[in-house]
Amino acid sequence: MAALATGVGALVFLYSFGYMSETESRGTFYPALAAFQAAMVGLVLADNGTLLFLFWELTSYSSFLLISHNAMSPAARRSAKNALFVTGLGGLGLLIPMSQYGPYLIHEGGHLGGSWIGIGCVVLAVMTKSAQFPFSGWLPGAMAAPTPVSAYLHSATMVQAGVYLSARLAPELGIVGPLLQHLGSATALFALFRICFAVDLKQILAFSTLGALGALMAQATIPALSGQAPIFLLFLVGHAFYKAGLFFVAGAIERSVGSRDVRSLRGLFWTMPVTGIAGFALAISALGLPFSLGGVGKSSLAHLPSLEPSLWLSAIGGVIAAYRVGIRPFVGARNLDLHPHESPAPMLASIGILAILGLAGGVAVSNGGSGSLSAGFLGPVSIAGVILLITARLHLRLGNGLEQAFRQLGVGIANMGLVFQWVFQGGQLSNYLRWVICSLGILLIWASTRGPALGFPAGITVAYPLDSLLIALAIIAAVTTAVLPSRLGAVAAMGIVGWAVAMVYSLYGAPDLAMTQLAVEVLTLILFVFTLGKLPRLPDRRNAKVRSRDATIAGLVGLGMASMCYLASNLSPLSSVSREIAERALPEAFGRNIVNVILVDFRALDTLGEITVLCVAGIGVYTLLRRRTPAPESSTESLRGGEQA
Amino acid sequence: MNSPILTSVARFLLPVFVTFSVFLLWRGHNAPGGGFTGGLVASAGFALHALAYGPDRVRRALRVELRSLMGVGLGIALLAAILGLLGGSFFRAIWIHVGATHLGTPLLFDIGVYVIVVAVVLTILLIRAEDHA
Repeated sequence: MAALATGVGALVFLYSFGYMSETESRGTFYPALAAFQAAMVGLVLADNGTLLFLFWELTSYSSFLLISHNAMSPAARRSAKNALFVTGLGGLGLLIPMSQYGPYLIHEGGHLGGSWIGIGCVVLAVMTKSAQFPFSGWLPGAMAAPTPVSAYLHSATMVQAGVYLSARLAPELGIVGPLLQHLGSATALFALFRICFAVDLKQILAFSTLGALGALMAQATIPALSGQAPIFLLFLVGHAFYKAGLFFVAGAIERSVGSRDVRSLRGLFWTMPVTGIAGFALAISALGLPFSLGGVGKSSLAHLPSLEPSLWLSAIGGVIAAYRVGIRPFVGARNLDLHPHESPAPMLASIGILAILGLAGGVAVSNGGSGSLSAGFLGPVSIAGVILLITARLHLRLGNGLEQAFRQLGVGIANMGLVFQWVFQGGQLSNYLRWVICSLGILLIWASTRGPALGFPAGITVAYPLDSLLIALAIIAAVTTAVLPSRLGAVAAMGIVGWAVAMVYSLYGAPDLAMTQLAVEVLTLILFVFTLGKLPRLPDRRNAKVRSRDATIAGLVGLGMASMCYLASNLSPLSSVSREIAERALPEAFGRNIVNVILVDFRALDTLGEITVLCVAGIGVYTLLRRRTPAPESSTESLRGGEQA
Repeated sequence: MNSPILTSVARFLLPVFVTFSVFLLWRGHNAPGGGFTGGLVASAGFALHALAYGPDRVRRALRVELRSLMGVGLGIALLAAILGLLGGSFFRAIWIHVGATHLGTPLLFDIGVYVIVVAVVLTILLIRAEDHA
């Protein structure tokens, strides 16, 4: 699976060079694509439940970025939001078993343990991600994404994630397994209808993928088949190759002709010969003809002991789709309204590679395979021919209702977000601070009540007068900070608190800490000097109600912090780790400054994370606060590009 | 700011600050100091310079874009980590011993930390200074 994600991903990148060169804002496209690829690889390689959840949601999020890439189009934005809602919500379902059982390793099995909630939530996640019925509404909308994105997401990776997960967890799904099978079949049936009636090339392909997924889901969740992974993989690989290739072909047609409407695309072979040949080759694989990879995959799947009818449904759908996308646009009389041209080289290269792989792979694999390859081919093709004839003259509109329902759901969720915003985010920074600090205080107090009950100290002995002097100074300065009406004065008083704390650090033998604290105090002071002049007048601080509310919140947090500190200082003796680090610092890390040794050697990974966060913060500040003259490479160029398009 | 004391003092102090910060960086492994502290001291020097002469002069003195500097710092830190792969695993420390001094990937990592701290702190400070001016 990982090889599939990266291999097809590489081809997608190649294809994008040709496809995207006519559009703008490439700077955001490639990183998002790379991020999606990384998330997908992580998803299939992850064994830990936490990592799985992380990568699952990352794929949802990066696909959101990719689908909404054409940010000027409201349809794209809407579809991206819908996709994110559905798959993201479902992904939360992966969180439930984690919270019940703690971090778990998938290959160990036995974690869903018959718990209805656990199984149900995982099933929800799987069904939303793979767009199974009834959650299929987001898939057609996702076709608003640029074609390379659709190719990647829907042929090789993202929607396969759900099938992948259910295959891995199949032994534990118990009673819910058959439910998934039926839903998979329903999905395949639903997809078949949409394939017949869709007019957009990419929609046809999307629904054929849906059909294949439904069939896979139905097959994969049969516990008896859980050892048959290689066969599923073979099918997946063949499917990915021809599906991605057909998507590429669709994109190539779109780029050269400007339309994806199947009804008007005819006779393109004469001007796009290479694309046409590749399209035929890919269609061969998609049809399941013998000696193609797709054919081998389909027939090997068909030879499994328990044959699901959904497999037939998806095969029929696949045949129809392959014909409508890979063959029909190229044959027949030329439609003189169109002005097509051959695709640019990068696109041709990726299409060609996939087509060749589809055929060569089939030959390579079938040399050692069974002889009855044609069985999987004749049946679906004949039935598909009949269906095509029937539907060729019918133009019904089925299944649109589901998409409408999803659009409404998306609007509803967005409205709910607005309500939240109205309540919690009034626009005043002080309000945000109040919410955050208040929650912090409550959390701290709750956390400290969960610890063991320590009595109050028997008595307070003043053992170190210098410490006490410094702490008393800090307390006085803190109170002054709260009470002073002048901002600059409050900042100065806060600086005194920081200075006193730094002195305490140095008294207790932490000079590094003290130096850093002092430097931070100085820099904060300078920062305040730059900032204070621009702030608006303080809100009415003499209002008793406001002051008492703020005082309560502050007191809450203070109490929480104090109890946490008290607990912490009384609960942990010098842990064995510190002793070991102290002993190993000089001989192994050649350093006498243990703090520094920990920072850059023993725990360097943590420090790497910290400095990354620092960079993110810096970029954030820069982005939010920079001067309003836009940089040349951002908004003005995209506007210009939009006018030209 | 228009204070002549500040301008002359800042001009003289900037190299002192930077030298001291490099000194802190170098001795960090055996005595108080290190990348974080060194970076903060260097930023303090530049901040003082910005107070006296304005943020434009500081940006010109730095010569490179601060954002690139952030990337460079991260790159150095990651390089130190990846070099460890030569020694066996990610982030393994590799040491070269020159007489009595020990140079190694942790020092490289510390340099990366230093650069990043300077870049981030100066990003924030200079943007505020420009807004203020």
